[in-house]
Amino acid sequence: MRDALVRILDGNTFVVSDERGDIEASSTEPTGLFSYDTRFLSKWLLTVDGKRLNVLSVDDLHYFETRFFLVPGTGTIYVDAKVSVIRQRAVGGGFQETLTILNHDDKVADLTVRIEAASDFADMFEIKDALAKKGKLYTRMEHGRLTYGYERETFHRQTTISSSVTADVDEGGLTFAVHIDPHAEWSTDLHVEPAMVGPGGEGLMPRHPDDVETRRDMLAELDKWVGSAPRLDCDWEPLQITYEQSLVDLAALRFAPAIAGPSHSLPAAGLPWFMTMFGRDSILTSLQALPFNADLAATTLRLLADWQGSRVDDFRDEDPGRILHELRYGELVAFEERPHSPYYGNADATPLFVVLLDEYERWTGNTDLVRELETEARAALAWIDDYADLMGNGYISYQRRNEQTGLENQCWKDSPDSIAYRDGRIPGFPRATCELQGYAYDAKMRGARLARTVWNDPAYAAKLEAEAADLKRRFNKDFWVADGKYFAVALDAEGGHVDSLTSNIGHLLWSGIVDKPKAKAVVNHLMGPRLFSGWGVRTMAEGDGRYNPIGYHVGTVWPFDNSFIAWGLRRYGYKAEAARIAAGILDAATFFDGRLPEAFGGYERGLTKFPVQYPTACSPQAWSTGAPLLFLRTMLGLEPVGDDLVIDPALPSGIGHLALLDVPGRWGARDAFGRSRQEALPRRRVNAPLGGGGSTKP
Amino acid sequence: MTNPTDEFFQQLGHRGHEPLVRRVAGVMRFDVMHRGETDSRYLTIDHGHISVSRDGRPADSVIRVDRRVMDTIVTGQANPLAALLRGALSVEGNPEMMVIFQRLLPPPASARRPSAIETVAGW
Repeated sequence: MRDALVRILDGNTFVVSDERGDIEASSTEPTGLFSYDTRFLSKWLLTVDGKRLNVLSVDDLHYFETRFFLVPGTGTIYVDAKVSVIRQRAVGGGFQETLTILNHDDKVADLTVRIEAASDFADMFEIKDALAKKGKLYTRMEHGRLTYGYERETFHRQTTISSSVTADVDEGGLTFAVHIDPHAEWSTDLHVEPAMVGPGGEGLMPRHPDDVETRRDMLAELDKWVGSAPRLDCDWEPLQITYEQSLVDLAALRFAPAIAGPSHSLPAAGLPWFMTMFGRDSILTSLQALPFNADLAATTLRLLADWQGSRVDDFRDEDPGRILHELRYGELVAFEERPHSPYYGNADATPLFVVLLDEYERWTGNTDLVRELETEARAALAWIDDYADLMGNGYISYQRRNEQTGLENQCWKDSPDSIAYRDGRIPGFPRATCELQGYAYDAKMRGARLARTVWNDPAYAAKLEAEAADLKRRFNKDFWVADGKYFAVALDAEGGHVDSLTSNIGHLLWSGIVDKPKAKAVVNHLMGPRLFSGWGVRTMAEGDGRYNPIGYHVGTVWPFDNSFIAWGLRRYGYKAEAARIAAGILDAATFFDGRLPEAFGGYERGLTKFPVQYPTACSPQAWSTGAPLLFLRTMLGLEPVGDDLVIDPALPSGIGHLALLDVPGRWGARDAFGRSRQEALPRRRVNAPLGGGGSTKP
Repeated sequence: MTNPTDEFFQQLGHRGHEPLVRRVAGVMRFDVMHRGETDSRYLTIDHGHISVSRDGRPADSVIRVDRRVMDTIVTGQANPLAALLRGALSVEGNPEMMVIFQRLLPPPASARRPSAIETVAGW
C-alpha cells in the first residue's frame, strides 16, 4: 500500500482513495468503496470545468470520516485559487460525501462540476488474483439517480448514487451546473449506497442507517470506548500517543459480522485485505486487549464457537471441532469457487480458542461463558488429538485437503517459504510447526483448569494434564536441535528437524512448553544478534538459508510476534529481556506516529536508524494495534492470580514511571504502577534507543 | 413422492437430543418453495432437544429457500452461507440460529477423513 492512499472505514465497509479523495481503481489496485468483500465503486473522480483538483490538505477527522481540501489547477502552482473545494466523506453503510465549493472572488463563478463514477463489482479475491467477471453489468438512470448493478444467476449487487442537488445524470456520472455568487458557496450531498440484493429485491444484510444521527452515535461510541479503557500515565510521552492510537485503531477495526446480530463486534484482521472474521487474528488480538477490554474476547469466543466446524469437508478443510480461519462474503465464495464460507484451514486457532477462553475467565471471572461454551471447548480439545495428528506421532501437523484454493501453510507464518530448513530447503507435508505444539500444551493445561474449576469434571482435567505432561516431555526431546541449542521450527513428514532458527521459539516460552533448563538457551537466541535486530526479534535468524530482512516471514520483525515473545519471556522470569523487546517495538512505533505496521524490515537497527516498513503491509492491522497493549501488560507484569491482579513491573530504561489506572477485571478496577530509578528520556530524544542502546549483544 | 428435504426433516425429527445445538433455544421456520407453493416447517431447538412440526410458535428465525436449493443443502452438496450470499436463500430474524443449524447438516459425500481414526467421542 502506498502511503498516499487515504482509508476510512466502518465495519467491513471501507473507502480507499487518493489524497484528493478520488478513486481510480485498476484491476490490481485495492482502491474503491468496498463492502462485504465487493468493490461497489471503482471510479469516483471529481473535476471542476473539466480539470482534476489539487490537494491542499487532508484532515482525518475520525476513522470513519475524512475531509479533503482542494483547489482547481494542475501544476504545483495554483493558477486559479479563486475557488476552493471541500469534500467531507463519511463511511457508514456506503458513504456520504458533502461537496462544498467556495467562491473567494468578487465575481460570480459559473462552473461545471462533475463526478465520474463506475463500478466493477470486483470480488476482493478477483483483485488479488486478477480474475475476470462471469456475470452481467448494467447501468440505470432514473429520478436523478445513477445505479450500477451486477447480476449472475441469483447473485445481485447494486450501487446507487444520488445527490441532494439535482444533477444531470448520464451513464458515466453526475454533472452539476453551478452558479456561485461572489464570496458565496455551493454545496451538495452525494450518497453512495451499496446493496446486496436478495430474493424479491430485499437486502441480504441489515440496512445501515447512514445519517448524521448515526455518525453522532458513532462518535459517542468511540468516546465511550476510549474512555472506558484504563488511563495511561507515563513520563515517556510517545507511549501516550501510541496507546491512544492503538485504542482508536482497535475501535475502527471492530467488525460486526452480518451473520452475528448487530450488537456483537470482534476485531477484524486489518485493512485493506482483511476486514473480515479471522480465527487466529481475532483470538490473538483479543488476548492482547484483555486487560483493556474483555468484551472483544467474549464476542470472539462466542462467534468462533458458533462457526466451529462440525463435519469433515475437504473443500473447506473443515473438521469437527476446528475453529475457522477466514470468512468471506464475495461472489467467488457465493458460487463456492473459493472455500471461505468459512474456510477452516489453520492449525493454531483451535487450541488458541481454549487458551483465550481460559485467559478470559482468569481476567473477568465470567464462568457463565465458560459453561456456555463447554461443548465447543471440549470439541476443540478433542480436535487436537483426533483430527490434527496427521502423522500419528502425537503432534499437531497440517496438510491442506483443498489442493486448489486451500492454504499451504496453516500457521501464522503462512507464506510459501516461511517454514524452511537451515540450508534453505523447503520441507514437504505434513508439517508440524513447533508453536502449534506449544499452543496444544497450553490449551490442555488451561482446559484442565477449566474442567476442574468450572465444568466440575476432575477426571477430564487429570486426563488433559497427563496428556500435556507427556506432550511436553516428548516435545523437549523431539524438537530440540542439540547442536544449536534451540527448538526446530517444525518436524517434517519423516519426523526430522526443519532446523532454521526462528521467532517461533518465543511463542514456545509463552505457551510454557519449554523445560526450564532449556529456557536460558532459547532466551539467548531471542536476544542474540541473529534474531534480535535492535528493534525486535526477527521472524527468521540472520544467516539461515532463506533469511531476507524484507522477506514477509523470513526476516522481518512483526510487532505482534514480539508482543507474545515478551509475554513468554515474562512467563519464564526474563523481565529485563521482555522490557528490551517492548522498548524496541515501542521505539519503532514513534516512527509510524504510534501506529505500528504489520511488519517492518529486519535490518540491524544501527544500520538503518529507522524501521523500514514492509512494502505491502496492512495498516492498521489488528494484532499490531494490540501489540502496545500487550507490551503495557508485560512491562507492568500484570497477572490475574485468583481474584487479585498481581503487578510486578520491569520498565525499560528511558521510562521513569508508568501507570495504568483502572485496569478492569474480576477485582473491579485496580491501578498498576511501575517505577524505575531512571528518569525518562527528554521529549526531543524519543528516537534515541529506549532499550538502552542499539546493541544486539545478549 | 419423497425428496431429500422431506427426508432430512423427517430424520431430524427422530434425532431427539443433539448436544451440538446445546447452546441455542428457539424456533426456526423453513419456508421451502416448490412450484409456486410454500411448504413451512418449524424446527424447535431447546438446548439440545430438537423437534420438527408443520405448525408452531412464532419463529425466531425464518429461512426462505427454493426446494431445489434446500435439497442440495440438506444432502451436503451446497453451503447455506454461500446460498445466502448468492441470493438463493434468505434469513430473517436471528441469524445466529442458522449458523448453529448448520451443525445438523451432513458432510459432503466425497469428504475424506484426515486421519485413520474412525469414531470420535463427543462428536
